[in-house]
Amino acid sequence: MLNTFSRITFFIFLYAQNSFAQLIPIDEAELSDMTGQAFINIDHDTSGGLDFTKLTFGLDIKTSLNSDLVELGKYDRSGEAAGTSDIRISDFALGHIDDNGNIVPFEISDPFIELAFDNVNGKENLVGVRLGFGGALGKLSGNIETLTGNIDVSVYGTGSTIAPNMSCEWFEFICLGAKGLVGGAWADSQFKAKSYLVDSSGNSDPIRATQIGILNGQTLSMPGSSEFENFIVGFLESQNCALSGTQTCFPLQNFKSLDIGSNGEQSEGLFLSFQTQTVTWQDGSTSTAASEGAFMNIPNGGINVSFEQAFNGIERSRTKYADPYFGGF
Amino acid sequence: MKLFLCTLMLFLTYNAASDLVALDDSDLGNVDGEGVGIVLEDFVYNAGEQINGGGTFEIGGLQNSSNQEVTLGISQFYIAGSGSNKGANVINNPVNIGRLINPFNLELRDGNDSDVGVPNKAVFEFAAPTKNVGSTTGTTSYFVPVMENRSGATGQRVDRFSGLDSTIFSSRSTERPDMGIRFDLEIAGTRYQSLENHIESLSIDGSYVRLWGNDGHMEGELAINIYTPSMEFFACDSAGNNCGNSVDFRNVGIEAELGSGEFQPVTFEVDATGNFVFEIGSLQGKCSSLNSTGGCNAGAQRDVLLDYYSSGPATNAYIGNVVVGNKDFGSTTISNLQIQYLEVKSHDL
Repeated sequence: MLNTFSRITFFIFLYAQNSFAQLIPIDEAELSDMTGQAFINIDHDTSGGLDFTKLTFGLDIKTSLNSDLVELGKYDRSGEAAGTSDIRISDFALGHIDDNGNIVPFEISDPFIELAFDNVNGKENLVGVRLGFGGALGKLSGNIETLTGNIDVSVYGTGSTIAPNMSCEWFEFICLGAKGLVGGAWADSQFKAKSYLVDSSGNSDPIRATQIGILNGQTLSMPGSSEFENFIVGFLESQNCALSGTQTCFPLQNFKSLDIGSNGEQSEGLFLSFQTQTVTWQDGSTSTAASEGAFMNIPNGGINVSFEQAFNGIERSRTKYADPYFGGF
Repeated sequence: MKLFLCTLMLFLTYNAASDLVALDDSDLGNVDGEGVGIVLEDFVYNAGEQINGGGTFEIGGLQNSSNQEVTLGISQFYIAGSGSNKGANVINNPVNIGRLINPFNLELRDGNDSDVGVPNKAVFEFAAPTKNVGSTTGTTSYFVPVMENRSGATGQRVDRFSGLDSTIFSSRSTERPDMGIRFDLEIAGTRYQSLENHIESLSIDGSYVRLWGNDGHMEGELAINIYTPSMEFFACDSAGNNCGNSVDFRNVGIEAELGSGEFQPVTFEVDATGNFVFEIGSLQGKCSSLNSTGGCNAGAQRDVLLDYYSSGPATNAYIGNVVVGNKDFGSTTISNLQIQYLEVKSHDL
């Protein structure tokens, strides 16, 4: 008796004997009518004294994934606490599950790998590598314990959400006046401020940051209001992580699920990189200077949070059907 | 476990005196088991435009974003024994790929086998040499995890890898090849630079591809393991000289499991437009009793999902140190990454 392997082989050859099809080569003209043969681009450019070689893949990716830990660049670094990392995000996730149990995937288009070279006396020194995405849309979740990079969050909201968080002493007349305006005449007006990675004193700190907030000396703006109102509100500037008694710096771990993208459209500029010196990466007309070490860039305008979310934090979205952050269910 | 007695040796040692003779149908009928073991002894591969005296070995048909022609000429592609010195010592430096008692395997498996888990299906498997159970980990994983509690969450998850267990490797040092490739980048007829990648002492122990049929299409699952003490990248000038500083990823370990039998199959198809679609099946719909936030209520389906989350297919990756020039940039870790859904579609750029 023949065994399974032999029987399968027998039937394959039996079938082949009865086949009248002939394999013929496809000529260039026919090939040129086919798509699917050009999903890779390779570019070589020079910018800022560096040479860049970029490999782009024409891919549309939808995914939902979870990871216990994503950690890059764990080494001792001057001025930083021992044992910390350039980037450490625990319980990292892309995509989420909605209340109806549907997976809402994280969308990525046209991922690329780019190398940066510094040509020194004819030697091409490799000084940077990055994994980037032509576009990204969806929820990025995790406990951001340390972050090196850019995460320029725009904080927005009405005066009525800001005023209750303003604390003024009875003798702080400017503060009291501002609180009255913000919670009264401007209660329905939109306020906005850009946030950056900061230290606990409100200074810029893009290396292994644990907080995000409004930089020292930065003011609020009222995008939909008059120049006069913007002039008045311009007197309210953040110092030492406070603006008229309102807290303006927040632990990164408060932001447990971040919406990447803008108005349902993919944002360009999301990347993870690693460089040995400051490298200015180009995404279309946008330049991003990445510092030495591991670096994560989340595109400007890619994340918008309300003042309420900044004050209270953003709850983590469901990322598993049996989710530890939902009591295990 | 059934063993197939027909072991194919494609390359024999110089001292081999035996001939391979064909098995006739009668012989085959007496063979029990379904598989072919593959061992390449004293194997060396060395090819490329610089190696074969001006011959052409290139990847063409590519373009840049301005639609100019891009050609990747391959100066050298090699597989050799350890100590290849980035492709300089190849020809007289052979390596064994697999071993007779632990070869690469082409095999038809019974899907009901406990380590396969595709009930009532014949499963085609191509597998690298198996791994040992590690003396430290007690599993076939390279990584020694340290668990921690997380604020606001139930259970424990990986905080870091405290060590690497090299006793899992079944491949000996003489069975772990060096590999490398040197590309010459040419755009619109201008040669820009030579890009090089060299991997030392590579092991892919425990890797496999499993394929089976279901409803008229092919499904599968993959395990991709990569272990190497050094994976180095650097560039040289257009003539392949004046090579610059390298980026050296040291002590690299990657264990990637994709798909989980028929519960979460992996599929690969090419659509009518010539573009490919790669999918890892979705977990959506695996639970029919959902709570108000989309979670799975207690019951057998939740138990299956809990089992998936605790011991289902996962990817772990670790780089011990990233060295650039003389600078160390420390370790990189991705632990217990599980893909609940993945769809990758190609399109023209």
